Formats: sequence, structure tokens, C-alpha cells
Amino acid sequence: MSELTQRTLTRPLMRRRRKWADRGIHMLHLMILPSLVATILFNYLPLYGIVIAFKRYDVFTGIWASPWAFNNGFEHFIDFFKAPNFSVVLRNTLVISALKLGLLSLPPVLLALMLNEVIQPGFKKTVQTVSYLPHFISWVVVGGMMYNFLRPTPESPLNALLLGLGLTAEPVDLIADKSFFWPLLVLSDFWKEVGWGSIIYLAVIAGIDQEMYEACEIDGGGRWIKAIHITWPHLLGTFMILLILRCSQIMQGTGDTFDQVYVLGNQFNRGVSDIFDTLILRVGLEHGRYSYATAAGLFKSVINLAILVTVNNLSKRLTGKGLF
Amino acid sequence: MSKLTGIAGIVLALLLALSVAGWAAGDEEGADAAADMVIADPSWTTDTSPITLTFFFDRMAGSDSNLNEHYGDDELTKIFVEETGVDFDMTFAPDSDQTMLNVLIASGDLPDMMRMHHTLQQATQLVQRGLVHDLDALSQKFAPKYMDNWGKRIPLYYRMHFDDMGFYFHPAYYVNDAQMDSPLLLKAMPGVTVLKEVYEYLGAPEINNTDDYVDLLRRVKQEFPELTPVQSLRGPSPDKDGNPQLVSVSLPLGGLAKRFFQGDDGVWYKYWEHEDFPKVLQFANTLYNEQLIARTEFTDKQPQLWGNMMTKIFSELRQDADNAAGIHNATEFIQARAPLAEKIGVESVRYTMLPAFTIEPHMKYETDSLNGGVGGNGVMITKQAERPDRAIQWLDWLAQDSTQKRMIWGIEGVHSDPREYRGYDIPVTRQYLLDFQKENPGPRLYRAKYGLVSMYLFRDKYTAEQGGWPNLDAVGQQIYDTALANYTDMSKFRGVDNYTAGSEEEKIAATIKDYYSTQIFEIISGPGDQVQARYDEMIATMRDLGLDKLNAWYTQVLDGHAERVAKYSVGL
Repeated sequence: MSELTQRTLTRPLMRRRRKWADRGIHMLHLMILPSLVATILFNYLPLYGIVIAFKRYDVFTGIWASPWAFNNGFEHFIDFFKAPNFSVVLRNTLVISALKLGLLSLPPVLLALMLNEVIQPGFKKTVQTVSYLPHFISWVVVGGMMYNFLRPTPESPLNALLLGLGLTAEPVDLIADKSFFWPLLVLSDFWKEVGWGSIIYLAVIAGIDQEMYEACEIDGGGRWIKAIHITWPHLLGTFMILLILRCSQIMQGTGDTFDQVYVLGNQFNRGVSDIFDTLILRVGLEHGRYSYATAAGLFKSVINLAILVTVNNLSKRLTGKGLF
Repeated sequence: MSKLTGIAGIVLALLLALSVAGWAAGDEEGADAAADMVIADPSWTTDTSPITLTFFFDRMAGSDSNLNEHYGDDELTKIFVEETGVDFDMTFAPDSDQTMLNVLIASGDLPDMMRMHHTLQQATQLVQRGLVHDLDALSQKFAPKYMDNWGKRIPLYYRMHFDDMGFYFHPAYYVNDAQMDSPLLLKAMPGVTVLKEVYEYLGAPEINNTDDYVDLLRRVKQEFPELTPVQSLRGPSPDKDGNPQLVSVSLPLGGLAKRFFQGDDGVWYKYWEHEDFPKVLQFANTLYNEQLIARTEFTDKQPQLWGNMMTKIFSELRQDADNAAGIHNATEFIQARAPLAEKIGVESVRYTMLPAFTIEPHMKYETDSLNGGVGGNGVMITKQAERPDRAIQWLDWLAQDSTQKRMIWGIEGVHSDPREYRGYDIPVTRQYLLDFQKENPGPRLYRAKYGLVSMYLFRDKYTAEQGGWPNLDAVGQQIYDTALANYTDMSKFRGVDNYTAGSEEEKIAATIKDYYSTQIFEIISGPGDQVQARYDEMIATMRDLGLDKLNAWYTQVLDGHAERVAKYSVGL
């Protein structure tokens, strides 16, 4: 059989095969459907509920039948801005976000870089596991642990140590002391999340072409030079994306700040621990003021979205990297 | 590809349409179901055929009270189900802020029966929107003797809360007229307690005012450093107004237990505007700054506070008489106090209650743990109940004396034996307590095994303790007598803080509470010489936030209460 004849015969077969292969890919695409439906059902459809931010929502009347709020629908927004603690809450939220963004964004990168330099695999794995583990402990448990560790009683580990060393005459109360709240917040977040945060950077590092390091070595580059000129530029994209994502949570203190503040906050440190989410919970939801809570939440989300867009554009201009 | 995309698009569109139709219909369904409710044919005989009613409790199912166990599973409630034919499908609130209640209402799918506080705004709304039965009217159809259970005083209390004076709540936690008349009834339970032997060791100084009391605490701190001089309460902070318990339980010491007072201008004000309130704050500030209280009491949870009371507290600012009289028998207390007893050369230590004292002589120490003999909770029958006849007949059965006695003490002769003065002796329970404590060393005591579930769910009568127990010793009796001496009926002042949903008052109250609850901690933990200045500043800000409007609300409600009592209590 000539080559031409064979080609003529096999062409429809190949086309059919490709068709089936395409169908297989389409079937794979269909697997997205449940997630898509779930996203629409649970993330988009409930968005209609935002309208209660502009209404005087009454659970008996329902969403649509509830009357519109005063001041052209902005009654609850105005109430929120006029809340006596609004400025304090705004300050706390921004300060906590700034502290966390400023102090906790880089440590996972540094940990990943350091782990990358560890030669002994056993030691490296041990350090990785130990640093990841706290991430799996919920903030409720971490809060309890911290509370027991720091309690202002002579029996608590911290005070037993301080009293034993003669550094203090009376037990100190770090939990109620306002000046210690922000440092405690940052330190506990660092302890809990730094290891987990480094995973993604380690994954990026693992994907860097080893020939680049070899070439650098041939050119006389040491570890420091390799880290600065090869590893860090590769990490920068991921770092910026994560930073942008964290910036989009500025109005909620970034990350799990609500959980953290909820378990570590108390009446004595409320002046520095109160953030938007705790205010919304306390003044809105606990009083059944769903419209107020929604208005406050909407305000927060809009600002977060604006920050996300701004930071993304800024990042693209400065580093050429962005989310969208 | 295009076909598949088309199909996926159609599926998504259908799902979206169904979802939209679903929630759009949701609101209507609730209203329709209430309107179309069919009441069963009247029947004057009690039906005992098996039926399961849905029941919502607006309270959390605490693990310690076994509320999460199914009604009908324990020995006693099994009998109740057989006797009445009524079983329950129960739902409990997951929290204490009516979230579940709101969800039920918003869904339009109400259960057959609901138990909640009758002063909740949701209760008022359920009544105003005609979603629940007037039990007086319903019982005339299906349980004609039902209203005879209550006399006049108890229904009046509930009727007062609704504009049409309907009787929408089956009373819970009530004291009937005969009990109210008993001289043994403990109408007040709380008071300031101290460890008796330590107090006597210190010479039992006379405590006439808070200065004397603070001096006593200072001596305790000096001579018994192992003891925390005082704890305000075994419950966690803050209270409904945002006060730490230290302030809340100190209100009677400032003569402000009623929480409301009428000014010369006829306006009703809350305690926080009373000229004596800064004195209460000064007292709290002293306890805090001199570390006479453990500062952990503001952040500790209930089990820790309870544990402290058992192990290392000299004085409790508010302790119930029954605790004070009986706690010294608890194993944990005995063990924890043994070194203290040895130190002062006595066999054992226990609590005693100090005669009432106040900050200044013109103030009157008052307490009212009986709430005028009527509890705040009650059961409603919703108009969505398919068999309201069975529901009202079951409530009628529940109200019977014989039912209530079995709920609490089990079956007479099997689980308990009657006693001369109060209730029943429950040897089985006593043994159960001993066994339970052996297996579960801890501060919690369980009152009864039989009816444990039903007691916590439906113990409505015999809720008040009675003094003069035959087995009370002299100290215990003194504690009961001391507590009882401080009784004042404050029922008129309950429920004033329940505002109409979405009202201006509700908004102002929420804002003021948030501000107040922050400031009050600043005041009691700040410098002692700045208490008055900070207080003045706080009140000025509260006024800016709309305090005068709240005062107008208090006046309207409290004057309304007075008018209604006058109008409807004729013949009582």
C-alpha cells in the first residue's frame, strides 16, 4: 500500500481519535460544573441579600417587603460612621493590618530561603514539620494556650519565670495590658503561620532550574549571591501576589485576625483590640441589627476591593507583576 | 464544545431560576402556612394517641444538664410519653443571642411550640403578627380547665407585656399563690458571703459599710496571702448593660439594685445616671487597684470562677444562699480548705452570709431572685401547629401538680419520699450524687437523676427554694434568713430594656451599650482619683448619643406598667 493511500485511510481515523480526545477534555471540563454551581449558589446568589444594607430589614417581613432605610437608604452607613468607637476601630484595624503586612510578609520568605540552604535532609524535614504544625491548631486553642501561659497568677509559666528570676514582685498581666496586645497579636501570628507560609516559597524554589545555580557557582557566586540574584527574583512574583491578596484584607486586619482578636481580646484591651469585624458582631449581629451589620460589612468589602485594585496596579507598575 | 457549553448554560440557568424561585417563594410560604392553618375538630376529651410535636427551646443545651439527650429516653420521660402520647422533636438554640430564633422566623417555618423569654422583641412581633395562639382562647376549645391552673396573679404578669392583654405564654418557672404566701419561701437568695472561720479568726469585725468591708479584705490579703480576698460572682462578665460583674453585683451596695429610679421631674432614669453610681464605681476601682479581687475574674470563664470560689476565695460579693449553705460539704471545697483550716486551728471552714451593708447609710440593700414569683420564660403554641389541641392539652398536663412533682423528684415511693417541710427526700438521687462525684470529681453537682432531662426542660413549679429545711444547721439557717431579709419585689422593672425591633431606641441602646461597656472598664481600672471625672465625661458622651431618648422610653414603659397593674389588678 502506498504511503499516500495509507495516509488517506488513516486521516479519518486520526480525526475521529482527535474528536474523542477532545470529547475527553470536554468531559474533564464538565468536572468544573459542580464547583461552578456551588460558587453561583453560595457566593453569587446570596449577594442579593446585600440589599438589606439599604433597608430596614425585619425578619418577619422578609427582605423585599422590608422598607427602605432612611437617608436615601444610607441610614445604616451613617450610623456606622457615627458610632462612637468608629475612629478607634478604624485605627486599630489599620494598625494591625500594617503591623502584620509589614512584619509578617517577609519572614516566610526568609524561612524558606534558610530552609533551602539546609543541607541535611533530616534536619530540614524536622524544622519544616515543627514550623508547619502550629498552623493546624485553631485560634481558639492557641488563645487558650496563650491565656494559660500568660495568666496574671504566680502559677502561670510566664509569671512563675519572672517571679522566680526576681524580675517582678507581682504577677504581670499581659492579657489585660493594652500596650502588649499588638505585640502579642503579631508574635502569636508569626509563631502559628510562618512555617505554613513558607511552603509556597519552598515550592517555587524547588522549581528553579538548577543550572542557574551551577552557572552562578562557576562565575564565583556564593550562597548569598545565589539567594539574592537567583532565588529572590524567582520568589518575587509569588511574594507580590500574596502581598496583594493580603492587602485586599486590610479592612479586616488581614488573615485570621478576627479569630485572633476574638479569643485574645477582652474588655480591658478593647481600646486597641477592637476591629471592624468585632464591632459588627457586637453592635450589629448580637443585637439582631442585620441591616447595620450588612452595611458595615459592605463598606469594608468595597474599601478592600479598592485597595486590591490600587495595590495590583501599583505592583504592576513597580515590579511588572500583578494578579490581573 | 459549543453543544456542551450550551447544555451547561441551560443547566446553570435552570438552577439559577429554581434558586431564585425558591427564595422568592420562601417568604410567602411562611405567611400562607400561618393563614391556612387548620385547627382540629374540638374535642373535650384528652387525646393520648401517639404524636410527635416539634419544640424549639431558645436556650443552649448545656452538656452538664443533659438537655441534649432526647426527651423520652430516660426512665421518667419514657413514662410521660406513654402517659400523654406526646413525644417531642426538640431543637435547642446554639447560642444565647436568638440567632436560631431569628432564622426560624425568617424561614417562615415555625415549630409547633416555642419556649423563649416573653420580653423578647421577637415574642412581641410573633404576637402582633398573629403567628401564635392566645392560650386563653385556645384552651376554651380544647382544655377548658387550663386557665384554672394559674389564678389571677400569674396571667396578669404575662398579659401586661402585650397590648391586647392576651395570654400568649404558658408560664415557666412560677411560684403559685399558695407558695408565695409561705413564710418559708426564699424570695431572695443572694448576699455577700465570707469564710466564717477566717472572719472569726480576724475578730469578726462589724461590717456596716463598704469601708469596713474593704478594711476586712485588706486584712485578709495581708494575713492570708494564699486567699483571694474577694470575687464578685461565679458568672463571667459582662452583664446585659456591658458592666463587668464587679459593677453589676455591687449595684445593691449602692442601693441601685432596681436599676431604674424616678427623678423629681417624673422621668425614669437608669442607675448609671444616679448620683450614687460613681460611689459604686469608686468601690469597684478600689477593689481592682488594690488587687483585692483577682484581675483574672474579668477574663476567666464560668468553670474557673466556680473553681476559685471552691478553692481560694475569701468572700463572694454575690453568692446564693443555697450555695453558701451547702458548699462546704463538697469534696473539692473540703480538700482545698484543709490547709486553711489547719492554719487557723479549726476542723473545717465554710461560708456565712454577712448582714446587708451598703456604701452609705441612706442606701438600701435589696435583692429579688424570685422575680415576683413569675419566671421570664414561657411556651408559645404557634399557629403553624397542625394539632394545637394536643399542644394545649399537653401544657395543661404539664401544669398539673402531680406532673411537676414527678418532673423534679421522680415517682413518689419509687424515686423519692415526701418530706414534712419541703419537697421529697430522694435517697436514690443522693446515692447517685455520691456515685457521680466519685466518677466525676469536679465542682458541678447534679440535683437529680430521675427526671434530670425533664426537670431542666419543664420544671416550672417548685422552682424556688424554701428556707427552714429540717436538715439545715444553724449557720445554714442564718444564711437563708439573711438572704430572705433583703427581699424586695422588683418585677415591675423587668423587661424595660426590650426595645421594638428596628426602633430608634434599639439603635441608641446598642450604640450606648457599646460605648458604655468600654468606658466602664476604663473607669474601674483607671486611677482612683479620676473616677468622678471620667464618669462625668462618659455620661456627657452618652447624652450626646441619645440617652435622653432612652430615658423617655424607660418612662413610657415603666409608667405603662404602673397603669396596667392598676387597671388589671382589681380584685387581686
